[in-house]
Amino acid sequence: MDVILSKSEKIFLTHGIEEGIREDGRAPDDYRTIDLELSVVPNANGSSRIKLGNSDVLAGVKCEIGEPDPGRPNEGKIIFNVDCSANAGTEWEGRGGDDLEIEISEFLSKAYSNKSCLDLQILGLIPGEQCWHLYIDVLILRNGGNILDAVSLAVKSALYDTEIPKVLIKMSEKGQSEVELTDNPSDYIIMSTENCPIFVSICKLGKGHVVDATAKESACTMAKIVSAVRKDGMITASQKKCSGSLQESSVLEMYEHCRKVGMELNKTLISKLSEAKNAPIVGFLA
Amino acid sequence: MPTDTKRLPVPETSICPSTLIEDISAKKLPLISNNKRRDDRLCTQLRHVYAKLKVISQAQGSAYIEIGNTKVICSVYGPREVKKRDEFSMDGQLCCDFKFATFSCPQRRSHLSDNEEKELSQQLLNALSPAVCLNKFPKARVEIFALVLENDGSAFSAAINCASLALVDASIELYDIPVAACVRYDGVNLIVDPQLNEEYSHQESNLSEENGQVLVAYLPVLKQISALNHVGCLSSKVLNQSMKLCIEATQKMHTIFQECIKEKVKSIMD
Amino acid sequence: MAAWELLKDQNFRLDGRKPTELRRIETRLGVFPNADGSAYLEQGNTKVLATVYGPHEVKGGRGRSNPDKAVINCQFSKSAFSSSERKTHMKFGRNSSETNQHLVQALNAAVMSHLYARCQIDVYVEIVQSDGSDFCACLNASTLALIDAGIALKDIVTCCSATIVDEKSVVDVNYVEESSGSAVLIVGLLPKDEQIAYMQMKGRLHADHLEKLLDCAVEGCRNINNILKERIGEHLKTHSSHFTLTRPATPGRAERSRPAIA
Repeated sequence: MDVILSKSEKIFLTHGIEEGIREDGRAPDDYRTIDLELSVVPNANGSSRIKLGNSDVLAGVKCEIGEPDPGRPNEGKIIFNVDCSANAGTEWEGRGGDDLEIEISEFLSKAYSNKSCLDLQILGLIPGEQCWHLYIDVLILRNGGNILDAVSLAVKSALYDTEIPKVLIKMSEKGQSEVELTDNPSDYIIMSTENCPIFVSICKLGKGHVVDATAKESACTMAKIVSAVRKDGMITASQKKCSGSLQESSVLEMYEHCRKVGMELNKTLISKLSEAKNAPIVGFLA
Repeated sequence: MPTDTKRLPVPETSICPSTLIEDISAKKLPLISNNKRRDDRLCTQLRHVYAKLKVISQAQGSAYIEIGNTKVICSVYGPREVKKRDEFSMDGQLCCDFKFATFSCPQRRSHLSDNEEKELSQQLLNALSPAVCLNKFPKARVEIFALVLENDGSAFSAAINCASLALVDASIELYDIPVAACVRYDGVNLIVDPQLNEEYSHQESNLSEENGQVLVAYLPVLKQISALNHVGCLSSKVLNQSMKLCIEATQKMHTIFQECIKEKVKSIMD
Repeated sequence: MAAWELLKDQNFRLDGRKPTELRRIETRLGVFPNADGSAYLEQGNTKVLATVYGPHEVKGGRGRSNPDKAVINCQFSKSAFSSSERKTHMKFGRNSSETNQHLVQALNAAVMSHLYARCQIDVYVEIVQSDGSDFCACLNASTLALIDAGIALKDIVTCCSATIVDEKSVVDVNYVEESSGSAVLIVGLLPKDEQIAYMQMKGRLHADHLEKLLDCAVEGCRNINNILKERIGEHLKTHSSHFTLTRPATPGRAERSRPAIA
């Protein structure tokens, strides 16, 4: 949603943030309320829905058997795909959301490219021939600011929820290996998602900076730093966004801030995920 | 441009032979031995830089840059009037297109922009726009096309450098000249301006966990960072160090570009 | 799919329904507060989100605007994880633009578009989960979203599918029945006037069966209409305090007649 603000509205918001006061009364490093729900899409192997303030994101993980990359025969693949639903607003109709879709999916694959994030070896089946392809599809239903962070939360939660069916590898009569799925639906493997990164976007408004900007705050942002933070504080990808420039000292300050907030958020999410796993599924009817 | 995916008769399932060759060559070597890198450079040494302005006669401004074997050409058109009424804005607009030539990388690139190129176009825009006096050309648009002819590492930083030189050549008013540089960290050493076999790629298997690459575009006079991009797992301490190294490298580059621009101006004056 | 016995001996279907029984319908109006109208509809395991933006000024050039009535614009999309096999849905694929057109046709019959001259009404539908009768769920959800947006309708257009299994017509087809290969008839109905706003049939069907099948689908539409009406009433009761559903007592004849002019 593009929010159109007048100059004086922008100045009002920016001055507030320089004083440490935000439009909705939050502190500069407070997130909005996060609603988390797991297993919302039964057709997917794992799924989650995240509501971060007014932003609403649905993520689904589907496993399919395919061929591994020739360069890495023992590993599976993860493929990210982001879809901006036109439900979020008229500007995303048709090809309207394409730029954002590419931006988010590229950043996701960058952040997860490091082998320490997810153990792709688990996804390998027959070396060089077959492996699991994990398709991670993200559907953005509503954009109320800070969509990147919401997407990363949804992806991590969906991966946590993902149950990959166990597979038996048999040798056929001709001496070729064959893959056979088990009949037991409760026989599955779960990936460790402890090290999956969460994105933290910090927006610079005037002299101050805030996390989890609302749509209005994003409209007056000069520059933004997004970093993918792991639970141990390591950063697996980061980028400056928006058209402004930043001083070196403020970049360092923002990184430190990102790291702190990211570690905190990771901790909270990990503790909430096990709770959410057992919660009843409400979906969109709530 | 027509989007005909069948224009080049390459089979869909073709594999580049280089991926099948067991890496006997450079990739297995350590990045640094005896304080020297794989190409005998020191850790903080840049490759040789060659830059030339005005290489495409039809364009308003253009530049060609070689950093080692990495070659990028860039052209700037405009400012041109914006035709569509609903695209008017009182600030000028920049429009960037970043492309790898099909033959530029070890693996063949498609002639259509893939997602990576589209994303880098957006980043190029973000890197340049803080430096351009957009208020000087209201209701108009400047188009920047960067084409990587050969990618031997640090191609995107070379493209930023090339684009800013092309903007200078097109006499578009700038607050400063954005200069970019890359730094690679392999778990032990920080090396400036990595070439292709030194660049970070998640494909490499024998990596230590902490490992990555940082790109910074810097405005040397204003002392501001206009683009920042990193991949790979880094702690904030290493991130800070590599940012500092990047900035040092951009300052070296800046003097080279200043010379290049000075010469160009002199030749026009004569 | 020959292995499946779609209709068991005691006339029960695979999912335990009787031939004329609908799947459970759950609805929720006003899912997205930022949109002008929105609705969520579950028809068994088929789950659909619909949003309405508008009426607003016509976008994309004046040539598209109509001086007499509104332009209805639909976009249908299906999320990649909605069906059991992953499919990236092409937004501009032939199949989806056809569905868009069908939605427009069906909604045009219901919306009092002459009230919104030179305007555009956008209807966006997203299938979150698919288990057969996708189009029906989409149309039902879009109607609800239009009602939530407060756009004047001639009637609640409802849609239902039917197919023939073992010479018997079966209503509200699920995925297994849909893919069994027999003809599926989809009917969109304006129940008040008993008018068919939309009708589509895929597959081969003996002409003798058509009437039976049509009756079955129309009956399904009527039933869905009753359910939707009830849901809309419930929604209004809980969400608008100014609105009372009880009819005001009809004024007596004396009150109604005008005072005589002296």
